[in-house]
Amino acid sequence: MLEHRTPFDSIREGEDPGSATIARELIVTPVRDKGLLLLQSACLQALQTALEREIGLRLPPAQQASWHGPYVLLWQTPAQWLLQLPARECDSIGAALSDRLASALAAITDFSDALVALEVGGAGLADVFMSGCSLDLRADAFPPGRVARTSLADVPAILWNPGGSDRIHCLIERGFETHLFAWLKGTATR
Amino acid sequence: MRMSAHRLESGGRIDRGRPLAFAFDGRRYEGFAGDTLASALLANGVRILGRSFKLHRPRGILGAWGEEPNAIVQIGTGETTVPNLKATQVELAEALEARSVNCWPSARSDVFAFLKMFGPLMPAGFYYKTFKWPSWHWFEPTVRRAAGLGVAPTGADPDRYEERHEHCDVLVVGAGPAGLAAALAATRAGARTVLADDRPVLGGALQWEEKTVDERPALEWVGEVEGELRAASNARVLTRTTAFGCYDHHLVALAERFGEQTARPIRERLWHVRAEQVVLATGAIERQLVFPDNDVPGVMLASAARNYAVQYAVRPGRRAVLVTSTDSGYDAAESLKPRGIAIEAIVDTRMDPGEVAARARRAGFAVRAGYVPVRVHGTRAVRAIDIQPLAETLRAHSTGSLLRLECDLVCVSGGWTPSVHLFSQARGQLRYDAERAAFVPGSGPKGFQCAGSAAGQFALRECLTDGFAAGRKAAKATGARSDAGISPIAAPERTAVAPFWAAPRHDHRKAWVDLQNDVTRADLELAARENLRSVEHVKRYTTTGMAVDQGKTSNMNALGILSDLTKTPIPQIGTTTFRPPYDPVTLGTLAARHVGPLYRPLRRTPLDSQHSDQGACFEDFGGWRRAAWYTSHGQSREECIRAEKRAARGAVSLFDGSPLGKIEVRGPDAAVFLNRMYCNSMKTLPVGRVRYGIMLSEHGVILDDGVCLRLAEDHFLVSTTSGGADRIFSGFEEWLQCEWPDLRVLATNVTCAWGNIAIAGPRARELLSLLSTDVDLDPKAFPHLSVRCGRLENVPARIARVGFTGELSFEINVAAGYTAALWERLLERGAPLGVRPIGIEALQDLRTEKGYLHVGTDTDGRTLPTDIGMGEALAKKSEDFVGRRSLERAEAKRPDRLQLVGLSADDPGTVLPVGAHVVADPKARLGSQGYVTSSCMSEALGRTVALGLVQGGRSRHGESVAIYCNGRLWPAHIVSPQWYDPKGERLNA
Repeated sequence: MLEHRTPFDSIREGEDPGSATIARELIVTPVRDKGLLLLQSACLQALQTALEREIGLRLPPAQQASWHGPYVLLWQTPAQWLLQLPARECDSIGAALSDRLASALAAITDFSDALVALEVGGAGLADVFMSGCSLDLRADAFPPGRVARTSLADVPAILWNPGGSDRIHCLIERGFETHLFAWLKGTATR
Repeated sequence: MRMSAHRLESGGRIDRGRPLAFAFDGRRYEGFAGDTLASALLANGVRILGRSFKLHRPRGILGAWGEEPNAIVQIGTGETTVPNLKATQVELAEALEARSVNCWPSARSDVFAFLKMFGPLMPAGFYYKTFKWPSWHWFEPTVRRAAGLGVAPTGADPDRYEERHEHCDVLVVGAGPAGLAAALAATRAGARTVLADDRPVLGGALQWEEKTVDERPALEWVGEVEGELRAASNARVLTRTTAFGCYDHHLVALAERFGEQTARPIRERLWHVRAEQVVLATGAIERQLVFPDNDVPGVMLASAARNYAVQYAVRPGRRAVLVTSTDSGYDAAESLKPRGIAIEAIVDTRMDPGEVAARARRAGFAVRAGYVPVRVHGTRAVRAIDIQPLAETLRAHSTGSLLRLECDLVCVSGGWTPSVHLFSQARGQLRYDAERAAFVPGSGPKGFQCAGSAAGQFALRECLTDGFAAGRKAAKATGARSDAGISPIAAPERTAVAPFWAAPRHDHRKAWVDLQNDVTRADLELAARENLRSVEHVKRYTTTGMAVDQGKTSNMNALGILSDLTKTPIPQIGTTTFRPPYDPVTLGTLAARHVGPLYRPLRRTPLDSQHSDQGACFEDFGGWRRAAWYTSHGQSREECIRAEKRAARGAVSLFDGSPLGKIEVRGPDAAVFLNRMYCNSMKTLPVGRVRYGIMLSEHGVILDDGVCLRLAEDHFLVSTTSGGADRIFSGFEEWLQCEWPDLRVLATNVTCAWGNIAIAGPRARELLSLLSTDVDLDPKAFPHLSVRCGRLENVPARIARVGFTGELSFEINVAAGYTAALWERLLERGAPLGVRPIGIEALQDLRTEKGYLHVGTDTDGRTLPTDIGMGEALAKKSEDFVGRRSLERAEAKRPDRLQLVGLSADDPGTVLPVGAHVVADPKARLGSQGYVTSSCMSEALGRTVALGLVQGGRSRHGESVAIYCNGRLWPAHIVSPQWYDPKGERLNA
């Protein structure tokens, strides 16, 4: 069996914060042990039913997230959602959803290795993010549950507010994490 | 150290307790905190700050802020130097080093001053007419060198620049009286408000106009408003921040400066502000008056003289003559006189100025109504001015009634031009207001308002009420409902103006319209005589209104003069186009954080650490940081690449193909969809097989290539070029969503989800068999161009018999998280087999000798599939596909199109340069018939190989050609592009 590695395992000392706190006002925490499934379906009702039966979640409205227990569902496009779930359940739930959607035009894709998930928090969060993201990310404009597909430091990013005014979850494509860390560190320590 | 001879004993808003030493043109001076470079130089008696652009005439200070056309300076030294700043906007700092530009060795003593003798030979457009023979390009280098202003730094800028996005309900640009009132109203109403002003202090003209607001000194009111705004949680106040551009969707760009101190964490910040409502309270700029010799140092805008005297406690002269065509010009006399500046006369170009003149006479000023200036005496400084009754000047060469007024300062006021630049950039319409003799905002884009002087309301009272109303209206439009209170108020004023575009001609003396570009009234006359009617053409012919100040003091005069010359009403002449930036912005600000390693994001593959450990030299390929080659102790780059190629041809190699695009296409109509996207057939591809395919644009041009793997009846994996994944995926989505929504297909870009390792070489199968797998690797069970899904080392894997080297190859796709461990295991198990990682450089050479094309290298923006030998495949396909129609054009069927061939240098040791041309006439080295696209030394063949695109190339195999590049010729032959293993025996092994 091959060893499974996350991007955080391979980031070298000096290239990454070394610890979760990259500046006094900004704390970056890798989200570990989470799996991601990309759900695509042209048949919303079928997907809705499958999700409710498997994990008890309803599809969130556009640009919103819904969550229940360890499961988080993030809206991506009108026919695409991202399901965050415990890594150990990824295969089984992916297979179960695929079975339930076998007769519908749907695709369940394991995205656990495609995206890197970070939780970024701290008092300087909005200031730092708005240096590299054109969205208004202050708490009143980006409330809990809000999801955005955007660009952060020129990196395609999915941002969502898991609750509270001082943290945002950020998902970026694997391979961009070193750039984003360097940018966050440089911006937060100015 | 020189003492400040012209500094007033008291007054001003400078900090006399903080003296600052600085240098200008190598001389040391002293100023105070709160000074600008211009005010400090004036205080030290420096009158000449620059030389004119074309004729190198001495030039002094005309304005006091962004309108300044003359005092262009270079600040700092070395890598931090900044060219083309206006001395009027440069805040004085300790040890500031400033130099004049466009002169040598200094503005005081410029060796190029002799050029003014050639003035008559250099009218507008002289270079268009003069430097034509033998060619403009012959003169261009010299003219360009002579014509420059400041010097750009040659080293990397060590300073730090920032960027920030901001969203607000109301953005107020300008913190003069109207802007402050607008921001106050919007903030009180509850709107999230941003107030931006380019000066270091708020208040605008209230800093020097000595007026009252709400029956108290205006500056007290400014202080109170600033305090209220800074304390409000819903307001942000930005000083030293210039709004320089309005763009779509209410996006306003701001450049924030952080002072000129030497040690600073951030030098400038670029703000992208998206505001629901924008209030432009950008004020107005006083106009220069056009009369002979109006460029002599000492001729200054009346508002600027007042500004220097009141705000900076600087005496810009000792004896002043005020020349005005407006009521507001008289205000300067009232401010200058009590500060010890004698007013010799107020010269009013109007015949009957009315009450304002009567009041001035009662105050003891000598008013000359109906007079115009006809000459300024002095070259390096004003010594006197000649004035004459207007009626007399209209008689040619009349010298009757000429009156000479001794003075060292001429204050001019030709009326006010609203700063409508941003409004116009936002697509606001302008209208000419004859009463104000200026273009004022007309109908505006939704969400934009002009207020105060920017809207043509030049009196303080109207500025305040107009600004307050604009702020309240803007806030209301955003849904803010709190009570904004009542508007501040000021005493009524007279602001009448009579347009005076230029004094009548008086002998041969030059009357300057645009001081920055050395444009005279005579130049405009010449343009009119040469029938240049459009104001845009006149601008480009004469250069009036161009360069750093964009005609801030000159445009309106130029329009007025042009109107007189062409007998065309000003509204019909119109204005030139206002384009960003309003004021110059440094490239550092625009680049912000996009420099060095953060210039653009570079993706790393899942094997990045492994490549580093193995000594990889990285390069940017298609936005990915990829191993170009692997260093080996004591070996050169070329030796390393050769060794890598030997491993691939003689043993086994590993290549990190993770960046290859991977798009899953699923659904009952997946085959139909891909059959339309590829120009060759994909519908007939059996499950478990792989086919090379090419995708075209609608123009039939090759867009991307790669293999298509059929994993199931309704499931394909499309492999794209490394840089093409996002583009091709977007294309798939566009076709599916916009053109073929009836197709039941879902596409998913899984490029980042999977890692890819290519094992290539004669021992590739041997290596793979050393790992545990449930895939039958036997060549009969698993032939070339097939794919198997199974497990490798107990993890899910997709293994394809494809490659880019021409050798027996397996491309293994595993989840990105397993890729590093797989790579390490392959290296470990393959060590006895001589396994070696290879980089992009080796791969490129291997594929070149195999004759595999690389899209974008061996194709260009014109290459069609028929040009690379795909004609047969196209002919077999009966169904439609993207780009097919374009392939039916006569142009696509021309036999002399550029076609992919091999190019064999007659000297097998010569590596033909990529880009070298195949020339039809070797003697004349003319007539390009194509060019070399890829070229290298083949390790396997022991000679050089090359690919190229050559006219009608495929029918010219065996033909001798000449290859030309940079003065050298090489004989070569056109051959088949398949240099290595043309029968494919090795890859089918």
